[in-house]
Amino acid sequence: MLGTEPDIVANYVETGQVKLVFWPVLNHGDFSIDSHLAAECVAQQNMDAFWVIHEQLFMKQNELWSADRDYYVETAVSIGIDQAAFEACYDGPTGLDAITELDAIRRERGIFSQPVFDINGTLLAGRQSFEVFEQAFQALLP
Amino acid sequence: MKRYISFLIFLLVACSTPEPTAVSPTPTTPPTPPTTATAVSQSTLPPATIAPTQPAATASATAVVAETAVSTATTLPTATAPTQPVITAGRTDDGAYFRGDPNAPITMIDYSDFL
Repeated sequence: MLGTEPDIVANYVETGQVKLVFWPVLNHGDFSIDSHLAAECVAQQNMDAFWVIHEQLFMKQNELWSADRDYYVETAVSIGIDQAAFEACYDGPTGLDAITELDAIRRERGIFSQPVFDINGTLLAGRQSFEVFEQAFQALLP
Repeated sequence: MKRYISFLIFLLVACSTPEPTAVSPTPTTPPTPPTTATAVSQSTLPPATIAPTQPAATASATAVVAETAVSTATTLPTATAPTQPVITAGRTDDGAYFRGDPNAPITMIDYSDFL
C-alpha cells in the first residue's frame, strides 16, 4: 500500500484502533513471487523486519521489475536478516508454499485485483485517500 | 423520823427502774440483697463516659469503613484502568502478516502486490 499507510499506522494502528493485515497478491507472475518470497523469508526470521522490507519493496517498486535473487538477498541482509537462513528459505519450498497458499485463499475469497482493502468486512477496491480510510474507521469506532 | 423514813420510801419508789415490759416479737424481714453490686457503687463513683473519645471514634469508624471497603473490594469487581494497546507484529491464523493490536476493534486487510 505505502501511500497512505504511514498516516494510517500513525493515527490508527499505533493507537490500537486498527490491526493492519498484509495479504500477498501474486498477480504479476515471477516478479510477484520473487518479491513476496523475499518478504516471507524475512518474516520467518523476524516479523518486525517484515514490515521494514514491506515498506522498502513498495518504495523501490520500480526496481522490482529487474530485481533478481541477489537483489533480495542484499535487501534482506541490509535490514539485519541472517543471510544463510534467508537463502535457505528463498531457495527452498517452505517460503514459496506459504505465499502461494495465501494467494490461493484470496482468490477463494473473490479478490482478483489489487489493492483491495477489507475493513471489517467492507471492501474498498483500488487506492484510497487517507480521508476515505479515516471515514471508514470513524464509522466503525465506538 | 417518820417523815424521814417516808421520804426515803418515796425516793426509793421514784428512782426504781421500771420493769421491762414484755414486747411481742415482730417478724424480721431478711435484708434485701442488692440487685447489682454496681448499684451500690454507682452512687459513689462518677458517671461513666459512654461516648468514646473523638479520635477513638474516628479510628474505629475508619476501621469499620476500611473493613467494609476491604470486604466490598473482595466481593465487587474492582474498577480497572483502561489497558494500553499492545502494538505488535505477527501472523494471522491464515499465515498473513499483521501489525498493531491483535484485539483492535478494526481489522483492515490490505490485499496487495508489491508491483
